Amino acid sequence: MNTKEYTAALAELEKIAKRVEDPATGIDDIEALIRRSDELVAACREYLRSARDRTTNLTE
Amino acid sequence: MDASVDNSALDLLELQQMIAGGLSDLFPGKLRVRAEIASMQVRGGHCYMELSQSGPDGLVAKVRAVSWRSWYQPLAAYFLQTTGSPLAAGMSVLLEVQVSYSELYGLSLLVYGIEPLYTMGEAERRRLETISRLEAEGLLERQKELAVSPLPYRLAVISSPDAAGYGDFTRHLAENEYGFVFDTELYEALMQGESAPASIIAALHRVAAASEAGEEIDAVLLLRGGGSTLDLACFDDYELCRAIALFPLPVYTAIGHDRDRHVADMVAYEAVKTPTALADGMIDAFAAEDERIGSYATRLRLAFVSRLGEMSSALDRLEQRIHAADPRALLSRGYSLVAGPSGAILKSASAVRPGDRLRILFADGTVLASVEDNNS
Repeated sequence: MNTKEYTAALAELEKIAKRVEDPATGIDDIEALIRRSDELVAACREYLRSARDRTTNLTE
Repeated sequence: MDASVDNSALDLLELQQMIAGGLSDLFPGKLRVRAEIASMQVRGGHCYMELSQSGPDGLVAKVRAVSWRSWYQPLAAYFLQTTGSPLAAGMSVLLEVQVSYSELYGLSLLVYGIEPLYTMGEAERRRLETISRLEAEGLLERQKELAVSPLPYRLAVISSPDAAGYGDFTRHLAENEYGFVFDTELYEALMQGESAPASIIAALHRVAAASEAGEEIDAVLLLRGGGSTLDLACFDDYELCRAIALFPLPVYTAIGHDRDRHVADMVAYEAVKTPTALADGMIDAFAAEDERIGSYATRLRLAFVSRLGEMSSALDRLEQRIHAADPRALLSRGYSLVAGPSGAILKSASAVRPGDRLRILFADGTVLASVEDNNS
């Protein structure tokens, strides 16, 4: 994941939150949305972790 | 006239004896005389000097002088003890002399004594004269107006290679604990005595020529490891101080002395007491800069880490928001949900008609049901 993909992932998560909060969204869709959000969150966390590692290596 | 029988003519010896007698009548005792030592030479313990006096247009008086060993040795020792410097050419002196005339060698002064304080006073007088001339010419502050590299490392060193101060300086600079590397180049010069000013000025010219030829030089350092007041009197020389004041690169002096500053120190961009202190100053400037850069790196890292922290919390909040909105979260707490034909969760009984097929969601599964009646 790069910075651009991270930004896109956050935008998608924002959309997912809105759809999950929308009462008109069907329960089956919600299940798929939640699964997708879990994948995105995991990828974003990995991106942040590797960025932190790189900073540490650079300055120490 | 027949010269061979002219009894009125004198023998040369008779003439010389008459001059000697006349001079001894004229100067029966010892005299005190002010002069400059134009040159001097010690042979067999005796000191042979040429004394001179200069006016604005050059030499106006000159005479030979000699101090015999039995007088010269205590005199030289007394001078050295009082001033800290050996008697040397170029010094202004006040001497106790006897006018002497030899039929064979002519006129000379026999030197019996010296007043060392006069020589020191003369050096001080010249120092003050140099200051007032430079001040009148507006040159005392000239060096301070130069734009100077905050971290000078390409250094033109003017010194004598065997001077203790030069060795101290280069060793101190090279052995700094941080491992900073300085680029020093020695421009040799005499650092004491009457030839020093001209020699140092010549070295300054060589530095200027190298700089004009494109060599990058941040600063010029004038180093000497200390000495007596009279040894260092050359650093009060007007021509030398003027050359320093007008030099286009910053000049740092470290002449090494305890008393009042020399004029060279006053006109220089910066003066420190010893070459070692000068090296310390340069190393400290680099160490401070190094620390500053290091603190930037730390601040940058902290800022970045804190930014990552914010991004991470924003991600956590989004995740929580999504999970909190998931209606299925209720199922695990023992509730059930009812979904209509589209799969949307039903929130009101009024929308349901008898015969509708609904899905009832439990934590462990889904049940399909059909509506028999609606009492709402």
